[in-house]
Amino acid sequence: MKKILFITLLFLGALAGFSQTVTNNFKDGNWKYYDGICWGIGPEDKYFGTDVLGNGAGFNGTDVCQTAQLKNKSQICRLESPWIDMKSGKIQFDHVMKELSGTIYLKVIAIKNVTNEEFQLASIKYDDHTLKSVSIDENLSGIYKIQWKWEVTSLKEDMKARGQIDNIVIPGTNVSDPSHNCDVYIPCTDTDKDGVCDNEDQYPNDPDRAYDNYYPATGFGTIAFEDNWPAYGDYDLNDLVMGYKFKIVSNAQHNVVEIFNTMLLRANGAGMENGFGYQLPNVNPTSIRSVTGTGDQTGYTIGANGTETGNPTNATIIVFDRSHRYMNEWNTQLGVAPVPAYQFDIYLEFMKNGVPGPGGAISVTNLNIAQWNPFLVVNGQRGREVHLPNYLPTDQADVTLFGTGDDDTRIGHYYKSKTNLPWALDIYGQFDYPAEHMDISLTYLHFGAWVESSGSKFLDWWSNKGTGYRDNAKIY
Amino acid sequence: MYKNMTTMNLIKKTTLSGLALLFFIFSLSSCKKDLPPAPEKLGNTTDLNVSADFDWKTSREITLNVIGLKEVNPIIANTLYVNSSAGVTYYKDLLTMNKDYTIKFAVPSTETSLMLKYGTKTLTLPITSNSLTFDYITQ
Repeated sequence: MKKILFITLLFLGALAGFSQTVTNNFKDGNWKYYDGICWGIGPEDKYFGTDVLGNGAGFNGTDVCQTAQLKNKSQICRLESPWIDMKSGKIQFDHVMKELSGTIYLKVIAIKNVTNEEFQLASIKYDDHTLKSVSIDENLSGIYKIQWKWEVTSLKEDMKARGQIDNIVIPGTNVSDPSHNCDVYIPCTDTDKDGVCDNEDQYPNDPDRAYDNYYPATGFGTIAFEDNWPAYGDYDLNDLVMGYKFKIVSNAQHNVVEIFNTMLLRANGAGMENGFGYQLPNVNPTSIRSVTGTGDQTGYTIGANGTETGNPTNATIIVFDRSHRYMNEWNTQLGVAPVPAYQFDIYLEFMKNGVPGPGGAISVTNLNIAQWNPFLVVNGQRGREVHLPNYLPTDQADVTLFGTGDDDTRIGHYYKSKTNLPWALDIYGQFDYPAEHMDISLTYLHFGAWVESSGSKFLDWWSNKGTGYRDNAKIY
Repeated sequence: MYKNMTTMNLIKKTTLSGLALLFFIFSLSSCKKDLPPAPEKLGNTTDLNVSADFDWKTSREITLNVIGLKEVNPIIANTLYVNSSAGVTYYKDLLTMNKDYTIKFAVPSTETSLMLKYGTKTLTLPITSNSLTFDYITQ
């Protein structure tokens, strides 16, 4: 009983927020727009046979609703309003019949919701071509559609009549729901009252949370590094291989509440002690309340909220300082048994009880997690960062290394060599990385074609969809 | 006379040789169609010719511009689901139907279309560029 009362109150409250008259002056100029907001209109529709006459071509020099050409007695054209919770008052509109050459009526009808009973409110016979303003008293109560119906009762030869109507005002509130087939709006159950219906809310009892979004959408993505930057390595892209997954929890206001970031240290094909971290380029570090779950961060300066200090504009997370702390084996050498990936469960808190960090809330779109900026720190040298091609260095990067060795980093050309080669790749999915010293171009047999076609050929080069995609003997 | 004969023979021989060569070349080019494509020439990564503007990405970022229906009652709000053709959700969020939104998300480079769902409205949107538009009207 309480639930029914609550839903009723919610519904009445929702109605109170609606406008008290339903109007239409067809100013959008496109019938599809009005169809989209639940008016019954459509030039090709056998039931309606009405269109919007745009470009100010209507009888009053503005856009109007116009019927199809009324050619024969069997032809009926209609315009219908959305479902309206009617109030007593006056239904008003302006109308005219162009090129009248017969007997035509315009009938105004109220159609009751659920029963579809029809009540004729007016029947207007066209006598001439002059514009008429109509005001119809009505005393309807409940939910109705108002229909205008043009009917031909007799016609002369070569009849070319067209009805036009504009400036419609109907007392009442629009209760059609364009998102649900223009049916009467029914409030959904929303237990936590955050505005997200329970059936769409992944946290129906938590007003501070509503959605989980994942990046990648399923499974893990992969970042694969060469660590000899700024010099070329052997391009086996296994000096550090990290799997990654982000679960972004957001609220009904589109803001990030928290991020569950799973990082997998999968391979460590290097003699060097490499660290790993990432930046969130659109996130001020003070927008993050806390970071937990990272590995050892020796040699880094970490602030109270868990982000690295010295990067004032882009939050920087250090996942670990030395990969060999967590994986003794390289996990790249053929003939050596693989060891399981080491998993880091990193938690980034953006909001607590609905309150963001001092830097303010971050929307899911501004976070744009696909722009995360992972980097390898070579052998404990904090300034020696290796990023994905075209990604910016952090504020801690040693810029004196740019342009040395094979590197050709400059503005607009970051972490690419003089021949535009990268030192890292980001693969949208699980990537079976090459074994030690196996060049990726000789391991993934369409990699070269993908690269030399600038990504237009073999977009799935890293998959194993068909024969000839890869040399399995070269994969660890 | 002898010289002329020799010259004539030479011309004949040259013509015949030329024809034979042409036939041979023609035969080769005709046969080529029936042969399987030659295996790609594999080399080391450092030998690749890479365009300076190649982005090396296996995903693409999509900006989806949602055009609101301005005359819709402001209470109409639903979850917009942006799915793959296989039903994998790339993005979901609450959208009020009378407002405009700009949404950003990433999809694999191999993805060619998106399935959008909002209430009972559904739309298949081909990925023709990195900037797409959804207006609730087209369905």
